[in-house]
Amino acid sequence: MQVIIQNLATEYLDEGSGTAVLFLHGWMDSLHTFDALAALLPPTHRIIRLDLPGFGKTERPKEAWGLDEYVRFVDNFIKKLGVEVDTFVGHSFGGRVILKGAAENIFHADKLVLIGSAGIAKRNTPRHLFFNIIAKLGKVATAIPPLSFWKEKIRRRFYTRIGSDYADAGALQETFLKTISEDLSESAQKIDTPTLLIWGKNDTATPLSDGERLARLIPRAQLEALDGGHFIHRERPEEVVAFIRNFIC
Amino acid sequence: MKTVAVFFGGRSSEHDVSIITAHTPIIESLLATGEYDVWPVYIAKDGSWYADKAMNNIAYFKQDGWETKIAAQKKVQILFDNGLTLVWPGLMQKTVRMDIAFPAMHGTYGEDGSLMGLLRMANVPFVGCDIFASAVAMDKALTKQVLAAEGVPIVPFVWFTKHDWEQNTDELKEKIVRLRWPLFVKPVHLGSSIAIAKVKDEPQLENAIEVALHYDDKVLVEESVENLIEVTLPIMGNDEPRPAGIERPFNKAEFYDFNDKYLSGNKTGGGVNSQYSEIPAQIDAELAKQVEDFGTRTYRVLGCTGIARVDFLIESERKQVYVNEVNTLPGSLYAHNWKTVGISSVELVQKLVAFAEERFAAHQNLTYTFDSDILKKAGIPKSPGGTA
Repeated sequence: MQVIIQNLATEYLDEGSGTAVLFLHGWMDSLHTFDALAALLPPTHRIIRLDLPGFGKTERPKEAWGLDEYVRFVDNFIKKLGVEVDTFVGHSFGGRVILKGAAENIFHADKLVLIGSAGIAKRNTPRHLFFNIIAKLGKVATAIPPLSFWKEKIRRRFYTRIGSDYADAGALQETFLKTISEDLSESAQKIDTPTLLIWGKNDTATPLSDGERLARLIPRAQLEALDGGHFIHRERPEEVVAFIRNFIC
Repeated sequence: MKTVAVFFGGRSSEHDVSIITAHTPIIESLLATGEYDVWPVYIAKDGSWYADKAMNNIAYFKQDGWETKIAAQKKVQILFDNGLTLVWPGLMQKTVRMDIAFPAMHGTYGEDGSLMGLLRMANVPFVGCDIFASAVAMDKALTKQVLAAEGVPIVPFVWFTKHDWEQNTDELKEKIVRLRWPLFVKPVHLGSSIAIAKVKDEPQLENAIEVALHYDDKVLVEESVENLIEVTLPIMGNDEPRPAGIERPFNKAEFYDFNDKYLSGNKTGGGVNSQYSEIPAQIDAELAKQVEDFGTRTYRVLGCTGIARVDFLIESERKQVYVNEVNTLPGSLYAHNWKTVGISSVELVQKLVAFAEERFAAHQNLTYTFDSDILKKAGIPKSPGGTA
């Protein structure tokens, strides 16, 4: 199904009836990341999923967007559908959007579920500083032959190795930089909605320590950790749904 | 050896489908004949033109970062000097003159007559429908109006532009409400079922119109045919149209979308999903006869030449056949269908090139200019440089 939001053709699925659950996917992902969860949730819920701008079948914004633009977009989507969202569920980047929207009092819901959520900046960690120096040195080294011939390949391998989506962001690279630059630690403290955090213990993109930090920052949060990685909702959908059901029902 | 330029890509929502059509079957088959020097001419989404024989292999378009790789290439220019010449400008300028053009572009700026106009100006033979049939067939509403005027059955519809909808929403809604629901909403200029929606109530209608107007400035709303059998008929030829097999897509969804048509095929599917249709369609003989009759009439009425495909909607209980739309560049030329009537992909492209040359030769015999004394009689002052 399509709907026009802010002049962007937006792909979404709206299934079932009952209390509304809105799912927001992660970076370079699509609404189908939640296929297993949507199929397992009881039919007493209206399950709404959308492809965020630039991903899946939704058009890419003409300019680079920051987090605020994504929050505004989701808000306009909700208003266009005329739906009252009972629960927001976000994975990774989708969690980042929810953190910001809920903290700014733009998203109103009874419950929040954040799965391997992004939002905690890694700016000041020794690991981040180390890779930052390597990236800068690499940029200089690959500007001159012979390494310049393999610049794109080296660059891609480097960002893949360190677990960053930057190299794969394509036309969204500027958007990627804008959206990850914002640390939501302060925002997290403003959220008074009950929040369930679900994490993969072996998540390398948003490590479990991020989940533990969010659990400390969000006043009414509870953290559940499962054996698995960043896409824990696809790896262990039954267990993830069980946590969500217990939390929202 | 004749030199053929195959045009594909383009500023169209069907850009990617065009890449498939160009390679499977056109370039593959042209190369297989050993009779043609094939030049792929790729038009990027931003309208830039590139030509490089490395692009004859579809693998080029599957490699990581192919768009960046193409953008780094020298753009090709076109020279019109009683023929079509590709020009790579620069100190070491290179030129290649084309004997034949083979458009493989779907949708806007390609299938809509734009490219055909350019090729007519260049005075080069080109494969497929000419500018006039292409332009009419690209507009679903205009096609229906032409066919209705010629007594070819079509489904009742209402059409409007974006401006009309913004200015006269209530009036248009009144007209639409009088149609028999459910309805289909379609952008008139887009193919591959892009932004087409079936609607059952007014809120769905308004949303579907908004989506359709996002992609096009003209939209039609038409009655849905119930008890539906959808069939399609590829046709080729100039003055003597020859139909292929009547093809019936298998009904997996309420209507066929872009994915059904192009993306759900298997490796042997030739670009179009070979598992998605039945050829010949198992419909009764009287319906099949009507489909062939209306198909060839439609082909003639619109002035199609080379190749086209006519799509039909059949109300199976009342046995009523309607022409739905005409596609002047069927995806992958519907080579899978032509094979069922004994025409291989290689024979298909050879026949299409022959039709192009036949039409071109016929046009060369037409008189386009004549001497007149209209300028002398117009009372225009003589040039200051002339004798006073």
